[in-house]
Amino acid sequence: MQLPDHFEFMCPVKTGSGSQALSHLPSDLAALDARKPLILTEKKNSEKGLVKHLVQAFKTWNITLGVYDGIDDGTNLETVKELYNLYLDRGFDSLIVLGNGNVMNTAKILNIAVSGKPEDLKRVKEGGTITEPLKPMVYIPVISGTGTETSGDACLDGLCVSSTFLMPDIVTIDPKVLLDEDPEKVVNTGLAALTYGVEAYMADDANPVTLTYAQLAVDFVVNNLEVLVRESLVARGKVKAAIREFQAKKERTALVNAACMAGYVYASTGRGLASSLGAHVADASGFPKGIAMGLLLPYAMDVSARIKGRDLSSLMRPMAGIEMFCCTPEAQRFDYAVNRVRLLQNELFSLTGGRVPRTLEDMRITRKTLAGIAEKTSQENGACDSALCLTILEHAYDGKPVVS
Amino acid sequence: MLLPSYYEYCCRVKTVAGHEVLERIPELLSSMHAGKPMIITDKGVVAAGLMDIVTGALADKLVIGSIEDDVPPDSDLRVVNELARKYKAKGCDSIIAVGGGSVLDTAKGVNIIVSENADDLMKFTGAGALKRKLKPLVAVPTTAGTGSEVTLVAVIADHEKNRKMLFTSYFLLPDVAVIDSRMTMTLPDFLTAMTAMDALTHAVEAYTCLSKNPVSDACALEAITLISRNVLNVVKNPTDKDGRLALATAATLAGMAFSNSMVAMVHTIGHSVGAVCHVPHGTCMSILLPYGLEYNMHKNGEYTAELLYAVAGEKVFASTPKEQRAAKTVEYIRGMNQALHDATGGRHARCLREIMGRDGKPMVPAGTLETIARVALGDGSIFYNPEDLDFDDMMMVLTAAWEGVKLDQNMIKKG
Amino acid sequence: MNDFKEIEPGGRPFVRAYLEFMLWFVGRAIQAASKVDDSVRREFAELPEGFTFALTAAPAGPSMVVGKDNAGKVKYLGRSIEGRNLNVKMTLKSMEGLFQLFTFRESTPIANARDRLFVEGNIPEACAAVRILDIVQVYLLPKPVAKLAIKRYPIWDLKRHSWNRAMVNLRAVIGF
Ligand SMILES: [Fe+2]
Repeated sequence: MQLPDHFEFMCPVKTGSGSQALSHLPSDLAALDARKPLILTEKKNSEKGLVKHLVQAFKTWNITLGVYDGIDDGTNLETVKELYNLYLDRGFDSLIVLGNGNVMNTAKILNIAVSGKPEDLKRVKEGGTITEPLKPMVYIPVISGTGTETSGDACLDGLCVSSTFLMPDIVTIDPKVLLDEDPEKVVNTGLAALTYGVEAYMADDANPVTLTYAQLAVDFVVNNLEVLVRESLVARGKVKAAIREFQAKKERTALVNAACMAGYVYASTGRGLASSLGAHVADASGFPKGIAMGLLLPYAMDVSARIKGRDLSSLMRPMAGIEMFCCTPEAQRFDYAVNRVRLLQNELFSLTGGRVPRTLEDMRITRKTLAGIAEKTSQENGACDSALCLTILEHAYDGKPVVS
Repeated sequence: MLLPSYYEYCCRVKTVAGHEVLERIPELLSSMHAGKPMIITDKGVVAAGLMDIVTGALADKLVIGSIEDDVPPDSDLRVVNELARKYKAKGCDSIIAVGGGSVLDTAKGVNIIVSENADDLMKFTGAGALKRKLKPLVAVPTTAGTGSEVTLVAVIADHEKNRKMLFTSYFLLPDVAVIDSRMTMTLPDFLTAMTAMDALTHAVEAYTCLSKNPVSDACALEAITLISRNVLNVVKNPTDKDGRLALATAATLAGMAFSNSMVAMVHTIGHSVGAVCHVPHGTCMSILLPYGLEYNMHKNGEYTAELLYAVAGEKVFASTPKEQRAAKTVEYIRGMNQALHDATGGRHARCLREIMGRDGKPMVPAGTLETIARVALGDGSIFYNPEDLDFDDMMMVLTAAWEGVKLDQNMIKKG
Repeated sequence: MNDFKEIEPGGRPFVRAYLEFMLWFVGRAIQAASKVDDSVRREFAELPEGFTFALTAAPAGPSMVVGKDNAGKVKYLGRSIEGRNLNVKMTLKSMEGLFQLFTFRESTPIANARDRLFVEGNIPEACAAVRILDIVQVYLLPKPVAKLAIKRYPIWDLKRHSWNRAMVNLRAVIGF
């Protein structure tokens, strides 16, 4: 690949993933000089016993843990204020996030407040930037997520902030806390991760450093999502279910790795065509963002490769593996990659009985709203002029590939 | 990509790469609330005219607190203490390290002293001794090899007490690595060849050793691809700007890979060839790399086989039968050494007996091999090698590498 | 804040007791092997007088200390690292890590490769300590288990496999 004349990448996160990952947490926190962490999570996570696993990892460490499990969809800046007081009153010095989307958003916003002066939150609200590293923050993902938890983005109660200082210090992926989940949520996580990963290949400053994480996100989604969804829908007896669970843990770990890595990549490259459009399509249709982004992805790939002339052939490698990639003539590689994404979506459609849409028509949005979405997106994202955006949307409406 | 049952990966360094990126430094420092850096470098960098490029790029966008160009190739505690004293005296608030391994180690040592206000560096040697972020440190590598701009260790010698202090901490990672193609543009051909082979070795060992993980695997694959596609070209056309950037980027990627996956027996043995006979590190690496792969082949051959695609390209990979790929990878690496040997008029050595000193005498006489093997048994990188190595194994590898003949697979003890 | 509580995670007394016993046994086995096995004796001979080595888990053990006294005799020095000036210290990042090691679910090289332990002190001496531990493991463990614990199972003669093995185990139990 030809390197761009100038490129930058940073991922300040330490990732630990796999068996006994939680047991590394106390010593990792100690290395950051954190001695009294506050755990933030949702009720359902403590009910499912996930908090217990986390507490278990701190045995023998003589550390008092704070647990707040009241975060839900209604969590707002008022909650943050209460948590702020709690954090300071009880002398906490770090945050552990066990959960996804909203829990992480709450933690990021809370961390701005507790790291500096409480006015910082107000200052950031008025458009100020974060200029100093924040207090240590650990992110322990569960199976479902948005793919931006590990990025620098935070949005809560209308307050949206973005800063690399908001990225967690440590990400701990432990299969113990990756339980079976509603397939639609799993798909949403996977497709969001896939989209951010592929968009790094389409970015103007695509470079081998960013693509290290991006290729893994693509690889882990494409090679795990489908089987994970398919197998979770099969009814099994106790013994067979236990055997399957062993394998499922591995697949979930891979998928969550993809989601975390996608967040790292997204933090550097930002939104591309599919994710920009996807956000608005999600708003218009009521479908989750990841699913909307993923639906648009193959059409954005078409436009990038066939209209803008980007060489995306190397995307085939993480999808198909070295063996297949090498024996496929270069001119066929992009076709393979884009068809692989389409195939994945069609399979997911069939597996979920149509709950995961393949086309915008499946999403039941009307054709006449497309122009408005294209217009709105192109105003936000300069890389996508409204004609191009509309091309993507119209083709995605019919499920028709874009050809040059 | 293979997901091991557990792995860790961390590279907090911001990578800034390109043809004219030194100019980004003032802005990067100011985002870390710094604007008066001490520049640490060595005489070689100054003589090559690189310092002028650096100061020109920084121009009047910041105040240079001090330029210190006295770092010797084997820097030690005395130098570190002296620089720390000057840093404080001149009121600097950050460090820019321009150079290779020794410069960076020195800069990291200085940074510990000035950030922790320490008088005794020894207090910070243990694991977890550093608990806080240090002062902003920007690393500007001037060779495309060591990868030390992204490593979290520093080795500082104390010549008075005759000991080496080892520091390991994520806080020792530079904040930014600035990879500017101008910094390696004038590197002579044989140095280009040997530093590139050092980087290649980092990537290959990271991909094939015990603690391989998906992120360092991805870094390693990208690095190997970039090096094998560019090294010979750059050696032949030294002013190839894009080629230079590719090699420099590859070295950083390889650094990211091995600082997380570690290196194995090529470094185990290579370190001691360097220590006993004072052979440049890159030379040891290029000679020993094929032997490391051959020795471990029964344990990690499948990974070595996968590398064929990166070293030789997709066509060669696809047209080589599966069971021959690992051997072919080794063959290609030997071929690279041969091509570099030819392109540098023989200055790139292919085997240990070929290495000549400035005085024209061989640097590794056959009689030193036993000493080398014994020293190698005490090198920590041996832990990460897939197969065990005892003294006899070391001797077998060393003897073959001295002669320049392939390892006899039947002689390798397979347990 | 109804949804808030503070938790004291507590200890793991049973795991600790098990590990204390295992470490005690391995410590005594090293002492025994230094008398019975030539390779172990040679490794110790190369190490300096007063050399001490510890295997432990963060944050507070359990631990094992083995050392060489001034007369060159190898001794199991007990289960406390408190106040000792150690030449080499191998620390598992958690008690769970040590537990994995001593329930043979993870070998030392793999635990090391997975960032579950760190080594402090003189590196060549640490390499020697690991070689000694490898040999002792071959003495203590049945072959299939030992094969998981070390990289390459050694080819030993019959005496070393039978007589020496018996002696190491016997001496470890009665401690002479
Ligand atoms: Fe090296």
